[in-house]
Amino acid sequence: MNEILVLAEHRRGELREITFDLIARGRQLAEKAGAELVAVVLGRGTDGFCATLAQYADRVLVVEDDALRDFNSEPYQAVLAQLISERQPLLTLIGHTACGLDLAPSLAVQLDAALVTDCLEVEIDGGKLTAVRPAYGGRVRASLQAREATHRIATIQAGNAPSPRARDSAGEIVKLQSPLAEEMAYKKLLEYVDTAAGEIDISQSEIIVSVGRGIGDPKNITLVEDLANALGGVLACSRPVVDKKWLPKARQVGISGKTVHPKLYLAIGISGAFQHVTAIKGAGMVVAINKDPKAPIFRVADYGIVGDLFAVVPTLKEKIARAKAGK
Amino acid sequence: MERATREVFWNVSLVWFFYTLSALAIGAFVLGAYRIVSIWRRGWKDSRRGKPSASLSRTVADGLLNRKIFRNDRIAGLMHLCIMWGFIVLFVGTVLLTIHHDVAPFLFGTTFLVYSLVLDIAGLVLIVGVTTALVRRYVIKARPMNNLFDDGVVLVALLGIAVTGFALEGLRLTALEPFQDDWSPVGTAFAAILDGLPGQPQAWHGVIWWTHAAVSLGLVIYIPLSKLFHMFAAPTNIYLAAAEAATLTLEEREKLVGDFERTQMVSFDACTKCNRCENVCPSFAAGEPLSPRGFVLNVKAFARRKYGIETRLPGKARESVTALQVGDMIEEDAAWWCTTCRACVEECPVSISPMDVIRETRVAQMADGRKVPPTVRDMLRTMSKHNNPWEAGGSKRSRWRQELGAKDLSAGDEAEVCYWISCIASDDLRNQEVARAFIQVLSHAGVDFAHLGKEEGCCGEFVKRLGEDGLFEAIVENNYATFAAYGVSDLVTTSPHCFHTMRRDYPALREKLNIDGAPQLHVRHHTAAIADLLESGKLTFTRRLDSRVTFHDPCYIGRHNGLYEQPRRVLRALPGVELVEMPRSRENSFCCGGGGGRMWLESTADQRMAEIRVREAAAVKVDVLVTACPFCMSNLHDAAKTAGYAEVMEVRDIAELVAEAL
Amino acid sequence: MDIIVCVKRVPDLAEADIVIDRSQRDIEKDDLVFDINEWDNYALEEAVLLKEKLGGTVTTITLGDEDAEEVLRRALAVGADNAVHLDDAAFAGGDAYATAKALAAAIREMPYDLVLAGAQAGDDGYGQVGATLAELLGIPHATLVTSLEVDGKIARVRRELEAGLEEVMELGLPAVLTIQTGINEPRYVSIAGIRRVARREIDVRKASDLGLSAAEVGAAGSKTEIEKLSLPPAAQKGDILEGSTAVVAEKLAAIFASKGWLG
Repeated sequence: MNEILVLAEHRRGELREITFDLIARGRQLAEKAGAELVAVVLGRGTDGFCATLAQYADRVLVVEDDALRDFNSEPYQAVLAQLISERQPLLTLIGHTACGLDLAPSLAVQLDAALVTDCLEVEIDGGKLTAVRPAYGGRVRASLQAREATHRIATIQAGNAPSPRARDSAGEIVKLQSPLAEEMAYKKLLEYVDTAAGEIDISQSEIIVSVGRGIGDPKNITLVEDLANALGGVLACSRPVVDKKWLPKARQVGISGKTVHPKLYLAIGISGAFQHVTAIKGAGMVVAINKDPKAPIFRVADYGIVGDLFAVVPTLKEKIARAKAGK
Repeated sequence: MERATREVFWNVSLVWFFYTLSALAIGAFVLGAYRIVSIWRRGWKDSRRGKPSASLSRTVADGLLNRKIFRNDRIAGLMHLCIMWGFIVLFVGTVLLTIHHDVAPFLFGTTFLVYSLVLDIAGLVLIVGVTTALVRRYVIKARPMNNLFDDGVVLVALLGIAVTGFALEGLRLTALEPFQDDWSPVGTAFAAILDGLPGQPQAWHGVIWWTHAAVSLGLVIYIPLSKLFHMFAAPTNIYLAAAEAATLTLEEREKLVGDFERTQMVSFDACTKCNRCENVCPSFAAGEPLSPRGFVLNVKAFARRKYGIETRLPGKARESVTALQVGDMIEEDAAWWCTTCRACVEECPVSISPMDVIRETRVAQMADGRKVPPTVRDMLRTMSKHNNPWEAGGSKRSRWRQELGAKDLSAGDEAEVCYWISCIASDDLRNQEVARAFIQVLSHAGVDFAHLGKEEGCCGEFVKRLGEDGLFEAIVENNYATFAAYGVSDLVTTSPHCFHTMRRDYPALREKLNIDGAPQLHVRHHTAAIADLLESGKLTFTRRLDSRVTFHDPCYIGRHNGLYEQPRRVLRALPGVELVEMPRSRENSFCCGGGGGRMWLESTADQRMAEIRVREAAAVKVDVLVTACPFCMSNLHDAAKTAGYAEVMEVRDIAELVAEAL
Repeated sequence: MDIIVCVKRVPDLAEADIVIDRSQRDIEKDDLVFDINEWDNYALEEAVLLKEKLGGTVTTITLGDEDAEEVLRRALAVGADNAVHLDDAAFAGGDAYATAKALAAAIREMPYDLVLAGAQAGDDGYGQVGATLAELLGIPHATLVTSLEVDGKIARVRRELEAGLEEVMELGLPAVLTIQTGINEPRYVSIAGIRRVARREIDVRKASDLGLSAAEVGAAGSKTEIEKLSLPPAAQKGDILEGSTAVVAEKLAAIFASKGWLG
């Protein structure tokens, strides 16, 4: 069918931001291809989601089932596989998220579909899927082309998409019968755990001074902490610092950590991997200090200093202290 | 006049019983000693030996004359000398008496009188020594000690033997009223004291005699079970101790059976827990969980559990101990705290090297891999991939080197001397200034020098100290290949660590690995190089510095290589410089905390070694704390700031002062 | 407990200047240093930790050219018992799907209770092989695993979601788990350790050994192909402050002051 299918992602009763990225991307592709944009909602008690999505999508397909209440790749895959085989969409878009990563590859195998993951850009032209995606940790961009296949699936990076445009009139909501017959016993979700519970909430701070792997050694972190204190901000970090257990998970800025919206985000020794910079998009001002002029962090920084953080940070702290004292 | 002699076993019945007991005690002693020696033999054998003459003179000085115990503590030296020689003379006296009684009587007349006098004096000396020890240990607590049950038992037993010995002599003199009292002055004095005892002296004598015998024989049994065994292990260790631990290639190590080198196994038993190493250990002083003494004793306990003869008894004990790994015995991460400053080695009265024992356990930990601290692990991985310990890009580093304006061998220049800049001086801003200053000095003196530019990798010194010998071997091979390719054999470096490893570790591997075309290296540290330039009149100073300075001896030029005078000569030659010494200097210098790979280990202790040191420098009221090592520079420079002395005292490299005075 | 760990040899780009090669489909690799993929290193450690706890065997498998053997040696040094090397010119240029297909063909023939793989690779970064492999083997999977406990025939895992959230799941074994970084503290592998396993045998297999034709694997068996690589635009969004350290620090402090953040 001449459709672009978009999988709505939700968790703990809320639609996730990625869904709107997918809708916006899907709409662009649908317009180009003269296709319909169809949102797919799998869950239980999804009326609210459907109403929201109907504002943007031409059609919303809903499958309600207890097994679909929370994301679980097994029932999700079963339902989606049936839906896609029936409807033969031009393309199915899934978020490149913890859910998408768990779902898309095995779904593609089941459908014998061509799959491109982690896409920055996607095109579907005459049934041919091409995509641009990062490789080598974001330091290279790869243009990919999918071979001829019955089905095509792409997982899309969060962000990078415009806000979705609402339709003039709400799209049609179609409730479908759940094809799930017996309970699937292989994989069970037991609970969600908030790893940052009880710790400082860095996302509440107006000024965040964040440190990355460029700090080299845990004992150097105090250097950055001192600067954070001088600025009256909080200390945060990027993923490698947490992986090395130099700072607790609660301090991590990034997709898998905290998404932040401070007025100042000062990134020190952070190269700016995708999963990090996505989480600081809401910052009022981004300042980056890094020794590598090619570091991707400079692409999102309002101000940059190319230099050795061990020289710049103490000097900056001193200047700030002096400026404060001068007042 | 009757010939003076002594009636052996006077007033003693059941002599056969005494002989039986003696035989049993000696048997127990032999068994205990065999147990220990058989543990020693489970260490692997290093074929290197020091020169016999050097080993002998060290054994005489440290073993017989207790030279190292006198170091920094004369009373302790005298005390030990008293106990040791008192004990030896009394022991020899007892042996002579046995010969006299059982083999060939010879203690008659003058011989006997002299014998009698010598033993009297020895007994007194022993009492003085043991009493001093007891007072120092338990009453005035002369220095921090770790008092164990063992220590008390040994002292009290020795005192008991000496006192009961005199009491017996006194009672015998009282009862027999013999001739020449003057030849047994202490015994005579005891006789006078014991004169007032009620009852027969014979009765008292009997009781005391058996007490004396029991304690003496008990002590014989106790020797191999206690620190007293050091009377054998210590001189053995002092004689065997090589100046440095063996350098082994990976191939050699693969063939080894055992956990430690044989001399190291001996050294565990040489330890008397005197605590001197702990008292000078900078890591311990900073409150970190490392005690060199504790470490050695831990390893000793490990060796006993794994290799003691009891493990050869049938049963399950054997199964569980043969699998014991060195790592199992090391408390938490103690091995990683050592800065390899060598203070413990310098201090140990009996030539134990806790430093090398610790490194050996690091080697074992490296091979296992699980307990290697993550920061060290990451650094070593970076090192093996990028040939430098920091993730500072090779391109950035060679760019900086090109900007130095000196000749660059990797760019095709030629020169007589190669300046080995070191990683830290290439990547650390403060130390880059030192490299520039030294280049200025070399240029001023007209030295024909060049650096290796992009071809200079890491020397691997801390890789070796951290126990990753395989990686070190690869680095050495690689560097020799670079030296061969660029015709480098004469090197000068601003880092004592590069200097030390190229001077000490490289030649041993060069010989063993038979590296093709590897040149014989002549390496100098820049303090020595500057001292030479000064001596040959190549440096003329035009500026007065007008400052009061002190010199912090870096461990790796000082204790490890004995360069104490050169830096001081240079400093004294600088116009307007007044050199004062800190209380701990030269051999007693206190480590900054940067050696042994410690630059990659964060301390969790309350204090930092460098801060302790900076406070010492501040206490002698200097304007400049001078050092000659990039790690010292880095640590002390930092500590001066964190300890609040940044405004009153600078931390500078000796090369910077020299450059400034030109 | 028999565990299979999939590992990959990838270039370490931390210090490298990346250059696209003449084919435009790959980067210049001659001057790069290579290492085990970071995620796989955590997976390998997790497998060996499990073995040390529960007993059993660890078999490590990789697909790649002859140089890829070094990651297998490394894995043996860490504590893997067996190593399988899928090495065939036909495997070259495969995408995640083709790679998973070859791995599945090899793994299907072995006994296993658990298959571990890195959550993604530092080079391609598809994040796809593990889950694809699971589906090809017909067993369940969980991706982005940050903790793992095995209890009989059940694996209890934590998966990393977004915003500091994790989900706790149970899976029946056998299963494929893809491991996220930080799940453990990988041990150090010394040169001596690698030397010790230098003579251990590695099971090398070609496509035909796996019953696969050249058309089913590598570039030919892929569902996607790379058309072109490019370097991302270097364009900066804002200003790079110029001058000495003191000057740039002063400038930045002035900017902060002008915003009123230093009041």
